[in-house]
Amino acid sequence: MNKIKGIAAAVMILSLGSLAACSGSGDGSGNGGGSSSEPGFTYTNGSVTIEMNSDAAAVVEKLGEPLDYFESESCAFEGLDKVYTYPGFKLNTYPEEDKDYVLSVVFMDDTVETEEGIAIGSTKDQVTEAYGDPAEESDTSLVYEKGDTEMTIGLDGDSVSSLEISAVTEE
Amino acid sequence: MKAKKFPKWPAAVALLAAVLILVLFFLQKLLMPKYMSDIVEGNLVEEYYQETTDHEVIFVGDCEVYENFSPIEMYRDYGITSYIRGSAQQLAWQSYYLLEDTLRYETPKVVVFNVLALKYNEPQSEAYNRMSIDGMKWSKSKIGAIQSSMTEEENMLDYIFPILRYHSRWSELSAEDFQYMFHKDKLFHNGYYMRVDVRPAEGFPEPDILADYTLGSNAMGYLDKMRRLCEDNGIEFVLVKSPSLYPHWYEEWDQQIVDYAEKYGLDYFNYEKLADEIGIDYSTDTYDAGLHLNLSGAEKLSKYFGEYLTETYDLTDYREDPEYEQVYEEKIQFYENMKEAQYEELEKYGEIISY
Repeated sequence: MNKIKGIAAAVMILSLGSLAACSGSGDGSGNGGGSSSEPGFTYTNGSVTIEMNSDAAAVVEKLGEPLDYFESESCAFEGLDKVYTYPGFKLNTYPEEDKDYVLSVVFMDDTVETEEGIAIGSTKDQVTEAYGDPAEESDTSLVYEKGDTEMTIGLDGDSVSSLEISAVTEE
Repeated sequence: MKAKKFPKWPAAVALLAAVLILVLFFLQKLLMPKYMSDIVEGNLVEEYYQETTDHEVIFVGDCEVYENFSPIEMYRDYGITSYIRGSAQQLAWQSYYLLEDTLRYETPKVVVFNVLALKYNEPQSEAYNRMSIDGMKWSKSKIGAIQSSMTEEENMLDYIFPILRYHSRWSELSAEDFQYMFHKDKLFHNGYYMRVDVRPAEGFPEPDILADYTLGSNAMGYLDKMRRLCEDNGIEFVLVKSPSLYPHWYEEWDQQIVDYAEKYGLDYFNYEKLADEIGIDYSTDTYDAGLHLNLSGAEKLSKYFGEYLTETYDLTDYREDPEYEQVYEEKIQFYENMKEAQYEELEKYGEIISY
């Protein structure tokens, strides 16, 4: 009888242990706020430095009134994806629980540039000089990764045609 | 001679294991999200298995199908039997495996795929994956859907035993979790998600400048797999782009679909470009400012598309079939009841709160 009790206890402990040890928060949501300790790419506009995955409300307050604001409901989730348009760039945010976080900064024209001086119209050589070898490269794009962010640079021949700094996060 | 004694402990262990499995099964049922009063789209995939009659037209795709086409309207107008196997942000590979899954139960005459999801070339979000996959019955197709959809943080075991993923929901359980453990109310109309409210479309942000306008090879590969699956089963394959104004559908993407359709002799309709001809008025026919159609818009689009289907394919008018007539009488009643209930809520609260 003692043997049976022992086996039963072992089975229960193993089962409960496996449940307790398994991963995941269980809510199926994204990962707002980011988790990597390495700092990612940022974009600085005037005196405001925009970090991906940071609190969007604080960034928007510092940036001031946008030229345009748009919000749309996610496919099924509560909360809104928001787009703030400023001169030369767009700021996209994503919702998580009760807060919005910075998802990406997208350059819209050549009046803005990265902290390393890369703008739409820069050459590919200027990009590699500023950032080194990309993590991914194709005929039309260069992708750089840093921390929880990536910077995607579109190329039209030898010239930068688009630039986006984004958080690497589940949508 | 003494009778041989068998040890009792193996039977006891088996009994204990059975009890444990039963307990875990109940716990899993309890802890999995029910999607009944909130994020109802999570039930779209599962509801298909309650169907008792076949369908001659199957739609596959994301919210641009399950919010924009009304199968009930197409039945009422043309006697077309159709079902939407769609879910939130349903990616191309998920559409492929849901189509494969559907063919385990029936062989439609026409499959319609909405092309917006082709803009995604890689797995996107666990939360959306769960809504597209958890509701599927176990099959080779479900395994394929999981394998092709998992983000880096996900693993197969969490799909096989969802309790491993959802165990931490114990602290947020509500009465709904107990109420809908084994049975869920019907929420949709042959896969159509109804909304009657109106929020006129206004402006949209300027489209992003993209690094590359080429639709990804992974997504396009699954489009091709869907085409071949249809071809192998003698099914006509039709491509559509719903008349949703946002997110932006680039002309460069559209041209790639036009070229693909031409190459394989498929019909492709970009209904964004045909919105005026359909009669869609974005000040009255959308409930979320142009992202999705409301009931009025969906019925206009369904009427227009149903006419094309009826004129082009040899579809049966099931309004003349007594078995289908009876089934669809109930469906129409459910459709009308929900429509009325939503209008009542709109009148009472100024917004839809229960759907």
